[in-house]
Amino acid sequence: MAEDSGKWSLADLIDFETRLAGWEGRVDTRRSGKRGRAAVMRAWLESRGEGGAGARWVASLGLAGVLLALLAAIAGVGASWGTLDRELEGVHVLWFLGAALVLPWGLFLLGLMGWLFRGRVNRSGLVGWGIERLSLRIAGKRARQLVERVRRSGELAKVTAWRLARLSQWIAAAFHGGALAGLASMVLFKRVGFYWETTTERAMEGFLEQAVRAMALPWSSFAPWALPDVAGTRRGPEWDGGGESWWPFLLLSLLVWGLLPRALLAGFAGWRERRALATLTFQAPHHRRLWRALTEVRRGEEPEGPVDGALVIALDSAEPDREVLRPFLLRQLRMNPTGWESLGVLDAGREDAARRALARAPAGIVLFAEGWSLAPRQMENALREVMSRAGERRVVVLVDGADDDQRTAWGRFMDERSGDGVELVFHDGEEEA
Amino acid sequence: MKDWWNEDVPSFVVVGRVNAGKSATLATLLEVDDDEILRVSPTPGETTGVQPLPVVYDDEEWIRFFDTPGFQQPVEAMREIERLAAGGTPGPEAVRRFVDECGDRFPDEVRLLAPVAKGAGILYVVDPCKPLRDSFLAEIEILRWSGRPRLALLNPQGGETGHEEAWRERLGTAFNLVRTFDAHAARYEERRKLLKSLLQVEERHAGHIERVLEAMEAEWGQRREDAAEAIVDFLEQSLTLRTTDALDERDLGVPARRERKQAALAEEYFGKLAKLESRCLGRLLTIYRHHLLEPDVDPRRHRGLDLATEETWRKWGLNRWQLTAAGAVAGGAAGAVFDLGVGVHSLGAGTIIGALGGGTAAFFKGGQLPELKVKLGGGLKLKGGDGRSLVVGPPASPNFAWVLLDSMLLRYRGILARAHGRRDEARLDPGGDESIVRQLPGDQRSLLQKWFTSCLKGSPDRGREPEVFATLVALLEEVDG
Repeated sequence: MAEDSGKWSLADLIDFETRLAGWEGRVDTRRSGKRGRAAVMRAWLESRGEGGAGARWVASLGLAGVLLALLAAIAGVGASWGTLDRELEGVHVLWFLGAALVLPWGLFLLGLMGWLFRGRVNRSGLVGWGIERLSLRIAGKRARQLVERVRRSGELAKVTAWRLARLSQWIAAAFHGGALAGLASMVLFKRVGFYWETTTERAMEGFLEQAVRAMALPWSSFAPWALPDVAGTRRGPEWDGGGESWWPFLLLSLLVWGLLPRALLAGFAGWRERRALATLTFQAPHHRRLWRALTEVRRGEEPEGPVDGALVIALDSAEPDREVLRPFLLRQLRMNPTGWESLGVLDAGREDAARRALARAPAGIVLFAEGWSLAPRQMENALREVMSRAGERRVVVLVDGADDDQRTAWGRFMDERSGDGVELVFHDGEEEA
Repeated sequence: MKDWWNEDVPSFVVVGRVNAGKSATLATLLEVDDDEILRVSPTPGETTGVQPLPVVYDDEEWIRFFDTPGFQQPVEAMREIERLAAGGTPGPEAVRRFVDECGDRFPDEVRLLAPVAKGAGILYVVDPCKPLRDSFLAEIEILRWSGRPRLALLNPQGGETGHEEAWRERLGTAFNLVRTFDAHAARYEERRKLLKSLLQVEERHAGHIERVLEAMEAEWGQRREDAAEAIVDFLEQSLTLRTTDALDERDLGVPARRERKQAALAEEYFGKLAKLESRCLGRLLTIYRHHLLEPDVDPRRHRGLDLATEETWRKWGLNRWQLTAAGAVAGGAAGAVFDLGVGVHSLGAGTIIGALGGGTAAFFKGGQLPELKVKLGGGLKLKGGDGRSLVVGPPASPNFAWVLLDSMLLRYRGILARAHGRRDEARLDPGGDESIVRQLPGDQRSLLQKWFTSCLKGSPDRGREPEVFATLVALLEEVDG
């Protein structure tokens, strides 16, 4: 693995995908997202240990490429020698051009078509669907998962495709090179002749002359000697060798239209591969999950509920007007009524709810009574219950709509309990007492 | 509130006159739209005590704000502090004594000055629409005497701001920094700037504040990605949505029965679409911490995404010429593939015919009302019509996907524009906003169109999805700005 954290290779990418496939969804170290995705993902990959299938896979790919190139070179030599008519000791130039140039480029075109139609192949009807299903069934579950993973991770697919494209061009170049070597060996060691033949009167000759002129355009201005005599090499019944003017043309054709464009295409594919590796965005859904786990900043929860929340407990089924009392409690008592409950009512459920709410009101408790409608013992019980749970919380007895006598009664009642720290407040409409 | 004060955590107390917008400022700054936590109300005196609001990232408290009840008797409090200074110039010590000794007479002032006396920085919120009265001067003076880092915030609450200059002039003499912050309209950028301003007034805790800023920026980026993911999911699910039902012999034989079934399927289709839309909006609202905004999606009315209204199709999505261009590009590309396939012997006819065909179809179909595609599926006719089914959806118009995306982007913009300090419940209605997708550059339109097409065909292009996601993230970033 390269030291430079910004650089990725195909092997790294394969390692990354295989490790991500086995990732259990947890990360040990949080990372800053400021470094960018490529660097963060790289650091994560390194934290998961050195080595992996990537290097082996790339080495195998390279080895397979070398073997295929070797085979292609031998096939190229074979293609050249295959066009030699051993009886006539001559090479049919049309066959030679067809086997050494047209056929490989035809295959290239087919490959290109396949690539262009790649998105449509699996939707090309029942046959395409069936082939895909069958091949995945044969390949098995793991292969199916791998194919799906590569498909979803567009970047690995892209980089791999460019690597394969580069290899395929080098293999094709090896084929052209083999054909070139075969041609050279035939010329040097066999001193073969070159000819072409047709059943048409003039059509083929005209076409061949035009094709030769077009193909020789890159060198015809400075090497006119490498232009063959098309008319003079047409094989008739009396043909007896000759046509040597063809071999420089064929040689240069293989170089200019075979090796050179293949090398350029291989270079282009290599450049695209490097570019794809340098601009990895890691935006596939499973990459995003990892990114989130690695860089997520978790905002904490908000504090629970209001800290000034007060509980209002209505006594003896009194019904406080909340709309009127709320602003009074807020502004005059600086208490925020967040709960409204009742004590001293027939409904046991409501009483229980009030007792549970007593434990939750953080800021204070307001006991609400109307006039002096309670028996002193009942009021005492209620106060005792509230005080036993109030702790350090503020406790206020709020009396609504009390006349002078009732106020006096309340005042006397509270004076007897002055040690409790309970406040007595009167409310009469909008006024306080 | 035993542990309300922590020496190690930088703290800022938000002070000001009753109803100056202190709670709204904090609600917007900290993105709290829950009245249980921060009560924002036009009625003065809603805040009764000091409410600590910790800013916690990754289980660590990095900064703490205090919401306070507001000054009720500033002039009297100022005189009391002067008295406590015993003729000398009042300073932090006099303010401390005031907090210790005057709780009975000045309960609100003591509550709000308690964190200041402990060492908290001050965010003084004023409404510059109000004239600069003596009582305000008293507040400014008290805060100046505290000797703490001070930042003044002008929070205009409507009306003329003709007093702003006077306010700025006066505040400039007593505060380290004066900034404008509209608590009912501030967006992410303003919130970030406000936090950054704290760096300028509170050097001692610069490290903490910088970490909060970094975390805030990182979290905002995460939210944008989460939002993009929600929208991608919504688009994929909506574009691949179909409703289907089996047809029997009688359905095939009686057109009225088949039409009834078709109508029922269309209703079901729009119902499911509304649910998807609602789920996506719900995700967006959760991501951006909104509880009072409601997604306006009703399958009966389709007010959120009124696909049954001609105006929707005119206003949102691509315009007819953009659709034509997109159609021509797609058709031309398909034709070019054909040309290449036949070794260019077609002399480019495939490209030209494809482009013309695609463009023409998009031109005429693009303005269509949302007629749902209806397909009779199942080629095999088994016993008495068994095996045939009716498949309904999506709308045939090539603008459908763009309308969906546009409506979601417009509501995303609405979510971002909503300040958390507002307490009115509102519905997320894209309303009269103009199309966003029409401003997209051609390459992004082309990429999205290709992905939409794959989704509409029922097989989303997984290889292209990461690019679509990245494009949406960039698009949301633009909407942010």
